[in-house]
Amino acid sequence: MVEPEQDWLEKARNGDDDAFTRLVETYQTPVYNLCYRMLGEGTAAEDAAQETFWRAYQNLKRYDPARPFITWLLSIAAHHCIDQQRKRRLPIFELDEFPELDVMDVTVPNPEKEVSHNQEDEALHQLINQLSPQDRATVILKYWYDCSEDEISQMLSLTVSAVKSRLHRSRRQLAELLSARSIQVVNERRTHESPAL
Amino acid sequence: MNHQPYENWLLDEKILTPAEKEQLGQHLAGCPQCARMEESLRMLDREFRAIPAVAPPAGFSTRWQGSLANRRRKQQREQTRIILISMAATSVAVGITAAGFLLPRVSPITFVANILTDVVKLVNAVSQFWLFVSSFLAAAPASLSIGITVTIILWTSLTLLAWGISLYRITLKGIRTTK
Repeated sequence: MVEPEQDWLEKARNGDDDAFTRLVETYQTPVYNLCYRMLGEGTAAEDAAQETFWRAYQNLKRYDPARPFITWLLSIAAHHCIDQQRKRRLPIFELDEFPELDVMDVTVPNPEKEVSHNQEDEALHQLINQLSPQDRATVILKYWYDCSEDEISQMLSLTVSAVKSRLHRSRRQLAELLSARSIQVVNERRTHESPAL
Repeated sequence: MNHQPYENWLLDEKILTPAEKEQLGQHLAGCPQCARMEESLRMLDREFRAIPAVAPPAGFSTRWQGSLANRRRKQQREQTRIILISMAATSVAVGITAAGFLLPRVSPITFVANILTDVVKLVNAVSQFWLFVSSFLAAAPASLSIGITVTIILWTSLTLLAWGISLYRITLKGIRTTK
């Protein structure tokens, strides 16, 4: 942890609200991103991120400085989002509802890059929405945050073998969904192609 | 064809030895099912890495400060409610316990009569005390009487003020527990 963060944490633990706000400013993006990836919607993600910081603020005395602060925050966010998901019971999307999911070469400049990014983002969202809340949290922490299996197990209060098993199952499920989607896209293209071409 | 070990290698992202890599390559060349899975997993990894983290809309920390104030107020109101309910519940419990001790031993008429007797005794005691104080003040020098009166008024006012402030704090501001 860098020096100013330790200072802000110490001040925040002693009741300095401005110091805690500095921590919020520093970690707002990773926390919001996790909530957004988990809940798939901006307003819900904002509420969940605010709730995460509130819970952290209330329990700051229980924070173990031996752990990175961001790990602790992400753990709170993940647990909150899993609870939210269970309460909301999001509808399951059918494969037919998936938008086009073409793989792009990100190194090539493209004027439609932003639009395409949004489409990919949305498509990926719909893919991970197929997973159970805990599997989704495991995948998000693994891929977006590069967390190790050990870190994920601590964050989600699971055993390392449970994390491995969840990752294995999730990767299989996602690969199958992606594969099915690719086959569907190819078939649709064949249907719409002119026989003369 | 046995896909199991190869699927597990792919799904668990196992670090393979050169011999295992060659074995996997040979299997993938002859197994469209595993080759499709391998391609999907690679595509998935690319997709995940390509999409950047989403930042919250501008002004998140300002909204946090506003939300902090609101949440605190809400928490304090909740604390006040709990304190008032606890006090009321305690009073009722004390009342019921006292009634449990008193009622079985005396009849209701005797109980009311005893209370009235006690009230009359109290009024008598207060009036006698007041007579004593009046006669004492009449006999004492004027400056002492004024001093005693001012001291009593001052302490009473201070006590009432402290009580009022405490009630105000509990009612409107609650009790901070986060610090």
